[in-house]
Amino acid sequence: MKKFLAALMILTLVLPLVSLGEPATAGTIVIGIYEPASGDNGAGGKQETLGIRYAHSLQPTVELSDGVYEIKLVEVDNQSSTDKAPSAAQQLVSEGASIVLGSYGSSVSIAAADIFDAAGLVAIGVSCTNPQVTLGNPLYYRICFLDPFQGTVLASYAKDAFGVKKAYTLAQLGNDYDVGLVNYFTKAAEAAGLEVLGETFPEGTSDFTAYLTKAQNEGAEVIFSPTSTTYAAQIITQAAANGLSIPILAGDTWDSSVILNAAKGTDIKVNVTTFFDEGDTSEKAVAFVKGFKEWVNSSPEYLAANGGNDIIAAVTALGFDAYMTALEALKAADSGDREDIAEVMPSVTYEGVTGAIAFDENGDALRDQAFIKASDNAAENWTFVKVQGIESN
Amino acid sequence: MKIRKTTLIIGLLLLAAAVALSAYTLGAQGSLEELLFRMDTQGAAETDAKMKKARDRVLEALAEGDSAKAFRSLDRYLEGFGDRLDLSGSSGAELFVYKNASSLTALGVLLLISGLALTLASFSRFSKYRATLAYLVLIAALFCGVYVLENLLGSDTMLLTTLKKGAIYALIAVSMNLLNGFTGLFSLGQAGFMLVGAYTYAIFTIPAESRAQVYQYYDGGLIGFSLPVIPALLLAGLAAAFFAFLIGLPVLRLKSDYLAIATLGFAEIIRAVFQYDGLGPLTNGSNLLRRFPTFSSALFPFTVAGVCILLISLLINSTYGRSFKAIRDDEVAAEAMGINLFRHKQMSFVISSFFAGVGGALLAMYQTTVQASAFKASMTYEILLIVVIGGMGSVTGSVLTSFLFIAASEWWLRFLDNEQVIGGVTLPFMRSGFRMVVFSVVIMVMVLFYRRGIMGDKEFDLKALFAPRVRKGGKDRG
Amino acid sequence: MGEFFRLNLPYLLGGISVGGQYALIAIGYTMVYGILRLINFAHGDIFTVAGFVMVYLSATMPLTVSLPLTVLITVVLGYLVERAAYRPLRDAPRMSIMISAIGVSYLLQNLMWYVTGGLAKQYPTIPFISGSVTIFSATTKMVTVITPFLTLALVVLLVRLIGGTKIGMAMRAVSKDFETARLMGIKIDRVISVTFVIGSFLAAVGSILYFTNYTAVTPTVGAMPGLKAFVAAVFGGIGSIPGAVIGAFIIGIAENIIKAVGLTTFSDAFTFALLIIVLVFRPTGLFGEAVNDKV
Repeated sequence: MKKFLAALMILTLVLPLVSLGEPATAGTIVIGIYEPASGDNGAGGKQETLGIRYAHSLQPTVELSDGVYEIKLVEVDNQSSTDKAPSAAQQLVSEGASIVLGSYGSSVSIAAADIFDAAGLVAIGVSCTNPQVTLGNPLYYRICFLDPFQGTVLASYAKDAFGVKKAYTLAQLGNDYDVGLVNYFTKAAEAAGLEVLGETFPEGTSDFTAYLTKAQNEGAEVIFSPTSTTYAAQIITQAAANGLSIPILAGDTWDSSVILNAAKGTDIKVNVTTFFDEGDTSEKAVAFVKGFKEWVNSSPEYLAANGGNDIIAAVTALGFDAYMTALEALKAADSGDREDIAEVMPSVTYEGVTGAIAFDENGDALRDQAFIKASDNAAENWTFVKVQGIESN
Repeated sequence: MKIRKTTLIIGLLLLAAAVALSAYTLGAQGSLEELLFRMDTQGAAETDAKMKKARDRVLEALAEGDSAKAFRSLDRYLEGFGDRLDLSGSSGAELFVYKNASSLTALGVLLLISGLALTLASFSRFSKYRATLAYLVLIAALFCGVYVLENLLGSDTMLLTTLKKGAIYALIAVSMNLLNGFTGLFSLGQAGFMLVGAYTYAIFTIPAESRAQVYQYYDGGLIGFSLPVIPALLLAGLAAAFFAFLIGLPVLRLKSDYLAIATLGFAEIIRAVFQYDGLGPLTNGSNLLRRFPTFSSALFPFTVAGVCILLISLLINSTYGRSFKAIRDDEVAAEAMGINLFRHKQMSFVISSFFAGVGGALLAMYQTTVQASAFKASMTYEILLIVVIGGMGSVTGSVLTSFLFIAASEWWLRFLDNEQVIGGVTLPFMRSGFRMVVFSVVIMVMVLFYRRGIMGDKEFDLKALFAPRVRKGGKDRG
Repeated sequence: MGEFFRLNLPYLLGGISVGGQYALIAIGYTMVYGILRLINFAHGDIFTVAGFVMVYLSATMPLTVSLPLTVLITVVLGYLVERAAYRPLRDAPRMSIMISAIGVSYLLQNLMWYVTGGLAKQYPTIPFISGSVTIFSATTKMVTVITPFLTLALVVLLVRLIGGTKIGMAMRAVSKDFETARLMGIKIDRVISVTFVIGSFLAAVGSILYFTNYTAVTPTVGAMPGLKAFVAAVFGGIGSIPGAVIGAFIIGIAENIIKAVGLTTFSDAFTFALLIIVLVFRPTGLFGEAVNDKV
């Protein structure tokens, strides 16, 4: 028995060696997908990956001057964790990726930046909004807006739409996305004359009633809690159960079907800033929405990764645009060579479903507008509220 | 004085080979620039713009002094246009030497060391040090091997990444083994001490000019200076040891699983404290620390971890080490023999934490960023599983298993996460998350059926390899 | 006074409710520890599995079927874990069993990731206990009110079971002295299986109450309540069922007071600090019996 088990285990360890190390054959260009499929951000990472896969299903090849190249997607799971991130990034480097897309979650992107940089590999951040991702990392680009912008937009919106005087912020301790965004929100809100009370909760918290009670007792008129979706669902349902009537504001992470599912049937008002709105009437967006819905309904696996329905998360649209931007970069460089791509990258532009994409000197997308959406708790869907810029109006 | 002639001759031959090799390598180290033009006999680059661009990129990188980029570009150049270049004869050989100069140097060093060792061993006066010499050659071979691999494959391949992380985990696993396997103290606080080490290292080494950027929410932070790497590594260990000293005062009086849960609790408290906003100017709160000096060559973690593991082994084989084992085997008996239980437990705890701190600092360097939220209890569990699978009370077991564990979890099994098609048939079950399921099943099988781990409480021994195998008639200790 | 009461009642209600749920998990810990001297690290994960089973079952079946089935599946799982991962190691050192427990926890978590894809699942609403209720001025879920009573009822039942039945006597004997009990002809394996069955049953009930209150189920959601329940068990004196229950309520309420005061960063750290203080100054907990080391 023991010998058999030993043999079996050795086999499981050795087998992969045989199937590994398949280099990109001639006529193939590898695009790496650096996204979490597990860990706190696993859900969001999967939705982002779906957008990339859908884009790939539409355009699986790219035409360069010396022929048509097939695009091969290589996905690695960075497990939403900075200690697993380096080896995941390394995997993409050694698989010969020409360009990398990802990640959902800023800290893993920051953790991988040095590795991509050392390999001369261009990375396009899809929805990592922390300024540190591109700052000082010349090869990291991104197509979404940044936290300072998003925080300011939300603060302006809180003041304009709700006319509030006091806000309560709730962030997950140890999560730099939450903490960073709350920081910018607080700065902007205080500058606009709001009073802000901030608290953090430790990882793994399920019981938010104490925090919500606090917000109510302190007389806060709006709650800003840009947490990951796991905590978001808890916050919404508990707010509903405790009869809270304060509107909740959040950032792009909350633009997910998980939130709608949690808010369904309650009277909690949820408002989010996001990159994309399903109801966008531009020709590109309409085609994308229709095509993606068909595609995602075609396979139970895709549906499961999207949370069991066909509501389009903004990160999915961003993933789609990121892939298309990568194709533009390949065309502009006219090769799959990392150095060629790095050279042309600053001047790459693309008209995407989430708007026009062009990069500034940091490698950040030039974006000055965010969509604001509100939850429709009866129809379990988002309703478009407005496009908001930094300027208070 | 008796001399073994054959050994001496082989030793001297190796020395001669080492000298010849280094002479040739140095001699052939011609200028690559000139070689690039010599290879291109027909001047094809002058007519082909693409080829010229590729070549210029090599020259550019050489001019910048960025050797990694130069090598990368050279490889790309040769790959793309190799059929138009003349690589025969001396240019081919020169190119080979140029590309493999570091590997050849490493080979030379290895030859030199083995030659010296063999020459020394041939004199009967040194014969009692033969085992030590053999280990020395083995270690030199290991280091040279890693160095050669790094230069052949590039330091950014999966193999090297795995080796780097494996070496760091080896140190951490051995430090935990010192506590759990050798002293019998079931502590689950390793991640906490690693966190202290990692943060101490990061906080004190971030260059002054990067601080404003890293501590963006805290006006550049509290500390305005930065330490060199080695003192910072030591400081990381000392800080972890200091925390361990304080924590040990109350908790080391607790028994087995109470100790486990108390240390686990302390690790969680440490994590909460480091994430506390009020300490932000020092720890950057919840945000990650980065821009501190890191390593690129695998030799650095190998050397640091190697030295630390050597120190731990020396400790284990000393009087103190024997006292530790006595405490592990029977506390009451050990106390009756006059061993001060608390003092020895404290010593083991503090020393183990020192090395865990150094290991944490190395891990921070490997990751290039550090964030408190990664140092969860699950990290401690991972290390504990390494120790158990390697064998409680076996240093070499922990080291070996660390490499296997990291390779399996972060490299070899990754293919399980993606859909695999073999012969047109899509294998079921293969989707993201399957890797970790298979991995944990393998671990459970190990834990249940190979309870004593790969090495048990034995050590890897050179003599056992060379000596004829003798069965010891089933006198296996349980 | 009225104002103070109105403001702080939600904290207290929340604390009592959380405490009740911790109590149900803590009993599982304390019983297993009492008998096997094993910290069953997988207990929190069994609790989580119960949550997922309910999510999946209720999607296809009516509640009258899915609720009992969830409890049944959880009980079988608890039994199987003991059978497969702990029984083979019965005579191994205690550390080996504990490591096996950590391994099982690792496996269950990874399995849940794989099956669910890591997305948070919304727990089904159970009529009546999911409904809202207003007590004085505070609105809360019905389950918050029911939990402490249900917990106490179950505990009374359990204490009577242990004090008044044959299997209960056997359990007490085994926890007093494992070896002697075995020599006296008590079927150790059976006693241990029953212990795991009871522990898992309570975990399943606890999971139904917990997730009705906190409706998002993720693979790691059970880790923290699990650890805290263990702390509660230690606090009350490990091996003592009333101790575990009282410990759980104290921890649940204390935790919410900490949050009310504003020390939210340290609400988890506080629990562990409490654990360490108890261990150092009164290692047997509030109600535990002193155990002398045998030489």
